Amino acid sequence: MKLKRWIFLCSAVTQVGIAGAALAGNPFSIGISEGSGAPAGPFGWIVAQQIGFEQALTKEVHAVVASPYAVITLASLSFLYGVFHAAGPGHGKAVIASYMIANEEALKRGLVLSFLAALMQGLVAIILVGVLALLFHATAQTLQATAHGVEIMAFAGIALLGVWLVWKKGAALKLYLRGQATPVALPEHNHGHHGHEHGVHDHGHSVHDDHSPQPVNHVHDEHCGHFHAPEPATLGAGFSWKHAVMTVAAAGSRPCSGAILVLVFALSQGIFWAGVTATLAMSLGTAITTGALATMAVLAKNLAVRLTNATGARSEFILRGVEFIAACIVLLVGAGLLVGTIGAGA
Amino acid sequence: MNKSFPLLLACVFASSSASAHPHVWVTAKAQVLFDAQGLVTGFRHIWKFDEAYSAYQIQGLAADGKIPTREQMAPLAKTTMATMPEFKFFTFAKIGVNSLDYGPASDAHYDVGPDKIVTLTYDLPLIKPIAPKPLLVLQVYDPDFFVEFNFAETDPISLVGGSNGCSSSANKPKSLEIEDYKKLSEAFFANQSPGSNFGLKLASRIIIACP
Repeated sequence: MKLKRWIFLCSAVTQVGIAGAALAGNPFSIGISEGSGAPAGPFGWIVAQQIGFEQALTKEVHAVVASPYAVITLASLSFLYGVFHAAGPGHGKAVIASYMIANEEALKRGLVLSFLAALMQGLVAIILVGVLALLFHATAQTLQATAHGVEIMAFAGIALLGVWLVWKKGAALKLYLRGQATPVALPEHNHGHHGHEHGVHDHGHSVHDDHSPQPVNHVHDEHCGHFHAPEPATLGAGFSWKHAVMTVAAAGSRPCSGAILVLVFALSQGIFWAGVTATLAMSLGTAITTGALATMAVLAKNLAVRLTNATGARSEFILRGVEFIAACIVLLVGAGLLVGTIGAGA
Repeated sequence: MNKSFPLLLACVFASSSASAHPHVWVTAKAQVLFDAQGLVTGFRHIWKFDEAYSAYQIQGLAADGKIPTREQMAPLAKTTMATMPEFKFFTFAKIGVNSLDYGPASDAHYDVGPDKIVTLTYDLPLIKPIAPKPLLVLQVYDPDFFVEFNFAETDPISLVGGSNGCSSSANKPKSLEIEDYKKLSEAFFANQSPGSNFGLKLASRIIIACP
């Protein structure tokens, strides 16, 4: 089991390396490094869906010039583009999903986070093009350099979120492992955090009385909240705006090339508002895909926890381990993208 | 059951690293340059961009509906050409199994048409002139598939200089079929690294044959 986990971790690191190395600045890039490499498997199909979409969007912008009502078609197409495009690279899916796995986030919150991240992504593109192109008549090079700067900040944000998660989850895992290795240490720690629970429930005493290999058979008691986590309040069910904002910012501050292109094209046709409408519709579509993925992440985690319910100790080890790995992935994604992007230059 | 996690995460990850789709479309024309001895000295690329990307390129330069001049576009041309070598100019030429190497590009410029469509033109000389025998195969594509290159329907290729009865033909790629996706899918799950031949798969082959 341990070995498998290491193999997985290694493959994740390798993938980040590949992704980082491949993110060189394409001569025709618009400042945002689109995930590179060949589209494959189910993604190949998604690519095929999008090839038509983006050009259809251009046509539809023309149609809006002729008749403003065509904006309805433009928005619908943009929405679909968002749905399919979000299944492609970027769009904070990895971040959101890993964050969801690393934290005990409820499904509803995952959907809210996904939606906000997608909305933010659209707004960043609108502000970028609106301010630079519309107000300051910036050239392609300025747009490209700025978008690149925004992207670097976004990747740094992901890396920071990762560092924070790894710190928290690493501490939780370490505490759990220490408790496993030297059960005597466990009660000492437990008293500090949920002493009152020991007073109410008997299960806590099993730790004191019996140093058997299953000293943590109390972990699934629902009153226990987050067991051996260092700060139950932070990691627990309480919703934290600070963390939510961090996640939304990390996952959503990187605009997508498609939105920037539609905005600039709409602007060139004198109908910037149509580009804004299209971008917001895209965000809505993106939110649906990202939300579906976040849902998958939460359901899979819940299922896994339920399936291992029988053996408590192992279940918590898996839970802590998976959370820690998810935290590592957020860090690796952020660091890999950051290094790859800075290395590639503007 | 803990298998589901690595799988899920791998999926999440794959979706962020293994898929790209074009944002830029180029309609390409190529000139094959010959010297007096009938050796190929290089290529001249003429790449016409799609409408949206053209608008992006001339953004801020087309005030009051004016058409930007070649001089106004020069800084952008410089930026474009700076990263082009890293991408091998998206140009892949072979004689038999030998790939041809080319030197620094020259005479790169952007022109903007009255329809505000942008065209990039540049020369790409071979390091060493070579006889195109038995066949010279030229392909233009972006392995990352950020840019989709298609050769023009009319006159995609022309031979310039002492081509001495050489002929050219453009073979269009077959459109992707379900089988292709299946193959790519298998490759993907087998080693997590699908390779970068998707752009190639969609690339036209220009073939130059000389007597």
